[in-house]
Amino acid sequence: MRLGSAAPGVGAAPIVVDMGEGAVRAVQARKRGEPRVCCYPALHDAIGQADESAACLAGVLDRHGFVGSRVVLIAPRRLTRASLVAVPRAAEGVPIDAIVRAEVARVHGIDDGFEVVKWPLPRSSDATGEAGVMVQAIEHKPALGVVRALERQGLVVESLLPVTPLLTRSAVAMGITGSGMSVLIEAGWRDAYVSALIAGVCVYQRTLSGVGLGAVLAQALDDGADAADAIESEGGRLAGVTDGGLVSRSAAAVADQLGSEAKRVSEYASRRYRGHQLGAALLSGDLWDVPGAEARVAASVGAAARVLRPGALLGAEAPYAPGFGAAIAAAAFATGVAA
Amino acid sequence: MTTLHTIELLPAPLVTHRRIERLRALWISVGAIGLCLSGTALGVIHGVVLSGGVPGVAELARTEAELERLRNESASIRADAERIAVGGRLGIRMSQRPDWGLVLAMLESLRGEGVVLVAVSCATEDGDDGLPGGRARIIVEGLAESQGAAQRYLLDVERCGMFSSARLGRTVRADAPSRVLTAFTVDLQIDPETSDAG
Repeated sequence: MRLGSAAPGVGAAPIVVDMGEGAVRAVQARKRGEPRVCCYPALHDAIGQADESAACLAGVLDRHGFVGSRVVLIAPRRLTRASLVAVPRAAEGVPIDAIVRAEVARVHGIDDGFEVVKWPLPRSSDATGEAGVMVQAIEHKPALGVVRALERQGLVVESLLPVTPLLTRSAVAMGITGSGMSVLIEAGWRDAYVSALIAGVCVYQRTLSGVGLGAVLAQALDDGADAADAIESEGGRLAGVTDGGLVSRSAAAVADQLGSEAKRVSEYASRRYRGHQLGAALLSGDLWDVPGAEARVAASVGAAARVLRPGALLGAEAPYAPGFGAAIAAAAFATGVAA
Repeated sequence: MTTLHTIELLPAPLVTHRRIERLRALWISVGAIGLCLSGTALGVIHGVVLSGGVPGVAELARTEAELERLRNESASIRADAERIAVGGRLGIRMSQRPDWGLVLAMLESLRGEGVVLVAVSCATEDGDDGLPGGRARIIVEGLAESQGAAQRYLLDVERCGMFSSARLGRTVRADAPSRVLTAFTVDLQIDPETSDAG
């Protein structure tokens, strides 16, 4: 068994694991050639059934030839909370960290321990005198539950990384954000997230609950029917679903809704950061595999739409599916091939 | 991972726990090494100070006398060693002397029908160190039915590999009752290190 055994994995890059709600993905960069990748349907809830999920993952990684036990885990999207926090201008003695943590705890009603990452926002046009920071937070208890379950399978989680900063950093590294405004649309299986970026920095994020393709399909299907089964019956892959079928129509509806939300987010950001007009919509998530979804978003936002494929950062030639964005970006950053 | 530390969400309690575990492992290693070093130091102290005490003047005198005795003994041993070495070299040289029986048998077997050996004389020289068993010299006197037969005999003797050098000496015409023969001498040498005969 390769997993958990130190010798064969010595010198190997960490395995990046993205335990999404619709699919679980793993990527491991290699010194030469294409990275190891695998993707399988999420059979268990990564949080509620952490042990089952971790055992399934360990088996899949082993069978797919992944080596070593080091893991970089993409923070499960359901566990991270985004906040925009106004803080006083940085000066000596101002406890910015404490203010941010207190505000995050208050806004999200978090009582126990939690971890935050934050980045400063560019100065907005409405000069109120206050500075702002964007925050992504994760609660310790559920995060530790996932990490410990992986450790019980012999995997060592070395890093836990939030999705949005990974995607925005990869967009900057690929040079596709420029100095203007863009929107990032993360289309998840259950929920979706729309962010406004100024010069590649996320300045605002809106969570759209129940707007994911899986959730929309589940609503459209009869009771008891499974959204994944619907995709399976229409060709098995989102890229090849039947034109005009239920999946295709649902995807079109989701793309339209996300496009209009992205338009609203960009308008909000334009008011806050005057002089910036939307340049492009960056897309991430499985939805964008559905033919025509990308074009519908472009039409809604009135700007070019582009699926974020950071494979180039790893030197990969294969056009990995849009759902691999965060995992591939993390693999590139974790191995140092992208800065 | 240096570019990712600013977006790290790994829970602090886990990071702290791992740090403590690493420190604990480090301290265990350091403690083990320290124990080894302490044990060694204690052993030295016990051997030098506790059991033997610090050497005093009387003991130094005893030690000097012991050293003198050892020096004398050493000179005696060196002299014995020299004698043994001479004896050893002699033994080696004696063992390297040619086996004359084998030499004569070889010379006889190589002669063929056209050659008759008249006399063979052997002598050994002393080595450079004055010991017997140095170079051996063999003079073969014979009669050949022709000059060519004498030459062939010389070549056969040379090819046999027993001798370090083989040289044809004088060749003179010798009148026999019914035919003319060639009297010859062959000068052979066996160096001790190249001898296969001994």
